[in-house]
Amino acid sequence: MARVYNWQLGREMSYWYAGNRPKRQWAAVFDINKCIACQTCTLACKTTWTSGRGQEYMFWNNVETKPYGFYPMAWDVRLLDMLQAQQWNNGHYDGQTIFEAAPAGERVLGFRPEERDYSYPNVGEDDVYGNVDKGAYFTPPHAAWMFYLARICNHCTYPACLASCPRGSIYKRPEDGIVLIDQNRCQGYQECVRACPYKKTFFNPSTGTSEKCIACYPKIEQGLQPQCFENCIGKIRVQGWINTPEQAQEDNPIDYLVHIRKLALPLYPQYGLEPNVYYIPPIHTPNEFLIQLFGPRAPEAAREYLKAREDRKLSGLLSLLGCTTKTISYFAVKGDKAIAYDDQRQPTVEVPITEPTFIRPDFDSVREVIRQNTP
Amino acid sequence: MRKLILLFVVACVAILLIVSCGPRKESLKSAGQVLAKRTEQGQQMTNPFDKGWEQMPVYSAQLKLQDITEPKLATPGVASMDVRAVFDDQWLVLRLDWPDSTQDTIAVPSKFSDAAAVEFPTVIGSDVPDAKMGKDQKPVQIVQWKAVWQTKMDGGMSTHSLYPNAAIDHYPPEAAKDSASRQLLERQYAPAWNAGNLNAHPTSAAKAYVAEGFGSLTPVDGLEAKGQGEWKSGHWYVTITQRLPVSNASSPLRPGQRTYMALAAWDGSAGDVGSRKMRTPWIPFLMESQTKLATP
Ligand code: SF4
Ligand code: SF4
Ligand code: SF4
Repeated sequence: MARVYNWQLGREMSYWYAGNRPKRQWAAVFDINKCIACQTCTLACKTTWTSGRGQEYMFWNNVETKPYGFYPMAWDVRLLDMLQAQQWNNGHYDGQTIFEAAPAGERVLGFRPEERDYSYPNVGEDDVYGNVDKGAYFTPPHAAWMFYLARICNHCTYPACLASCPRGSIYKRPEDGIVLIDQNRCQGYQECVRACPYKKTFFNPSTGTSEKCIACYPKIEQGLQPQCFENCIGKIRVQGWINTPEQAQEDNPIDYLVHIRKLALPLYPQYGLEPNVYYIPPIHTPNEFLIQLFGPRAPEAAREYLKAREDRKLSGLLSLLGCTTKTISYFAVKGDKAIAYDDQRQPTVEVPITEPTFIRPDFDSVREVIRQNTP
Repeated sequence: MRKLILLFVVACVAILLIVSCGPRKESLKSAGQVLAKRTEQGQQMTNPFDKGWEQMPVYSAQLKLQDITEPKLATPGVASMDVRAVFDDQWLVLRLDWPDSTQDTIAVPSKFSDAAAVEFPTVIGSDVPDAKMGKDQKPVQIVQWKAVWQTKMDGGMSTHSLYPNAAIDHYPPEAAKDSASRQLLERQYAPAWNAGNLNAHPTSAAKAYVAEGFGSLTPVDGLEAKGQGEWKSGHWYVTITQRLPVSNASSPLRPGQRTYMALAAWDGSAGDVGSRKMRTPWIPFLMESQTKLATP
């Protein structure tokens, strides 16, 4: 195995191939606090990419309710259990990654879900039991809590799917870091299904090959955000490009949220893949759970987010989420406006940071009707 | 007393007859090499239960774990395989049989198909490439049979065959007005098929490949291969048929030329797939000749 640098772990780690970062890396930020679990993203992806034969059970984009929701069943807790308790030390990960913990004869520590594990997405996971004391929901963290976790492929810097394929059928595009399965070369060994800790590759029994989220690359190539981003009702998502921490740029929205404000964090960074979907953690969730999912900085990120309203630049950038179909390569906040720019630094959208308030009388004298206050 | 002796003899003959009529007849053992016999009916013997197979010498190969490259096979699976071979002017037919208590004929998430493969060097001589999938610049030729391809060709891998109770509203190609545009859409909604991957749309239950080392298996269009398998009482009986080269001067697969072959087997129930397999080293292989034998 080669040695590569993983900035999310703050250290070098072992990986099947030598490090070779793409020219630029596709990345995204999801604000968990805004997700309403409407599943529009799931359906946007489903109708675009996976309505064919053999794809019936696939959700390249899925939204599950944590802590009890899983797709496939127990995808994360099962691997956490296999990896066993590991240690972070001052922002450095002292534990083992799934590459370093691979058993003899394997490339990656992993497991293959059973067919039935994909059969019950979203069943029963929102059920609440127990009482919530009056007022308990005003101060975070909450004693009774849940949140929606929207998941797609992370187009990882060190993909386990790619490392595990004995045929080299999986590749990471040098131009944008998008991870794809070569549908001509794949022989359906399902090694990637076993290896991906996020379980975001799927075996298609009809074609006999494995398939995965393609980051909507035909849209990306035209400077457009993916389907599940464009259609997100909660406006929780933004797609752009991420640099390494030492090359972070103030006017790059992903760099700003991830590196500069350290508000958006990778999902299960301890696995060692340097995943490139970053999450603003939920503000009401107990720290232990946040740290398990997003690493040791998660409680601080949740606290910072609570103060975002007072910060013009941050609240400006957050108000750009879901406001344009175009990839946001750069952004700026000028006065009360947040502006998104494309690759050529041409403005693509301008939004007010604070929406203006209109107060209307309850009786419309022109139409002679009483207005209903419907949102 | 004479009656008793007669009865005893009749009983012995009956037992012998029953034993010899079972699914696994003992044939001539071929020690040290797989000997392919010339026949006029090579094509007919693609049926794994063709009577002709009983006359052919059998070589019993011992298989071992693929434990060289990751992912490796951790637990031993198919330990032995019997191989017989015949050829005519156009075809080489191999009949493989091996014990497998589970019949795995589909491939779905986390379930794998039973399979077998035969491998030959592509060069004449004893300086053969590595039997472990060949080497850079030293290719090997492989023909693999998979139970799932056979199932697929018989229509058994459709969603409705796999999941008879599935409720499916509609697949996009069903909206097509005519069969040509439907065919186009079927391909469009099956990216692997559209990309020309034979896994998606096998035209035979066996496929020919070349390989130059682990992970380099590549289908060859030019080499015609066929496969036919049947599982009976805890045993697979499979024929793998490949077309012999027309101009055979440089091919090791020609009568009288001593060469080698190797075998591999996958037990789907045990999770065997890809490099997780049982395999043999090179086994001497000879297609019989009326003329003097060429040495490797
Ligand atoms: S999330 Fe999984 S499928 Fe996607 S790149 Fe990472 S390892 Fe591969
Ligand atoms: S990026 Fe595109 S392919 Fe990936 S989950 Fe979203 S819609 Fe599906
Ligand atoms: S569309 Fe947006 S808000 Fe709705 S479930 Fe998906 S991520 Fe959440």
